Amino acid sequence: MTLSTLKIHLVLAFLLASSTLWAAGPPVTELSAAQMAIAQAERTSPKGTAAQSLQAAKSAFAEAQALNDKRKYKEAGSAAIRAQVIAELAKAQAELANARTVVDEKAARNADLRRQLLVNTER
Amino acid sequence: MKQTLARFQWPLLALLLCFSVASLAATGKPDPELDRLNSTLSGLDNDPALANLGAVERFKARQALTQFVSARGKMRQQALFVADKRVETAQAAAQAELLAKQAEQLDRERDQIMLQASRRDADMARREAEQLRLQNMARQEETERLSQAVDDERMAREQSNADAQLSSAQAVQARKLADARAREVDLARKEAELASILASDNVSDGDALPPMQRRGVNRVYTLAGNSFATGSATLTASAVNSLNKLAAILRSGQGNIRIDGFTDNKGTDAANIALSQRRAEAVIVALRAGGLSAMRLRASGKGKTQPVADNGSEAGRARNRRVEIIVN
Repeated sequence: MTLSTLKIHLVLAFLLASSTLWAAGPPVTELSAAQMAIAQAERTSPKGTAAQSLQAAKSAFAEAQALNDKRKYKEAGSAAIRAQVIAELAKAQAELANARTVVDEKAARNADLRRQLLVNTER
Repeated sequence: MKQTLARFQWPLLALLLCFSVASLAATGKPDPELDRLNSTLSGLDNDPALANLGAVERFKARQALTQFVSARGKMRQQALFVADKRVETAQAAAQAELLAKQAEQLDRERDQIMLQASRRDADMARREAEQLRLQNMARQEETERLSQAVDDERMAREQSNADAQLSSAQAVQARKLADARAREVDLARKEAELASILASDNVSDGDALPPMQRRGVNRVYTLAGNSFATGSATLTASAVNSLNKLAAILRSGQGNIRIDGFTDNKGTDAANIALSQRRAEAVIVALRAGGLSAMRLRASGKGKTQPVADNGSEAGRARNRRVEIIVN
């Protein structure tokens, strides 16, 4: 082995060690984002399907925390990402359900108002 | 170095070939999950109601799909899961935004309905106000009509009272007039009786009452100048008879009697006044002899004053020589 070859091997070994160390760190960003998404979803008071999705997000988040505790950081990061997207879906579903409820209420209110207006006009 | 490269040349080439083949195989192989997710996103884009809604979530979904396409190995399943949830989230977000817009539209509709109701209420209020105004006008007219009726009734009542009072006054007046006429008739009858008596007396002795004329409310009997002897105050017998008859008439009265003597313009004023005074007193004596009270009689000599005819002729002077018996 020549000197140049040795240098190349040293550089490759350093890069491998660095990438291994970087990849092996806890998925703090993913866990934090997942936690924030779950909190936002909870504030929408989800019901029905949204509540089920939120529950799934919480389960995924718990799994991510468990994996993180077991220093399985890569799997923990994946679980955290799943928890985040499920929580965001739960929030969207809850907002959709709430919007539908609001629309139904307002439509019923308008129909009632129209009926009252019609009755008063005929009177 | 060259020896090293030469030693790894063929294994490296084989590895690259494997990657290329695998890549070609992966590129050409259809992925049903990718197609499904792409179809869902295309459906969102082509829906006119949802085309521009949920833009952030749709962007995240496309990013997830791109990552899914480039994912390999174990990461592919994770990427598929994420992309699937992102697409579903994009759908829900777009529909939620659509419903939010519908809610805003419903709020606008509500505002329109309330505005319509407000206009209708205002219109009804205007109509009610107009109706109340008309009712008030009718009430005022009725009040004025009733007031006018009351006034008319009051005026009619006052007119009736006035008519009654007038009728009563007219009745009283008529009664007084009737009484006066009755008295006049009675007096006329008495006068006629006296005249009849006098006429019968005149027939017996041929003497008459002195001529009488009315001067205002007074009766004036004129005794002519030939009732006395010339230049004296002695009454002729005929004049004495005439004065007796006159006294008989005047006895029934109560008024005062003034006797004024007059002469013509012959002689002095003093003599004429003295002569006219004596002649007036002679008449008083005759009337008292006929039964009249001296209290009612008063004599006055006027002389040549107050002539009743021209003193330039004998006839005129004869008329001026006179005695007037004025009965009130």
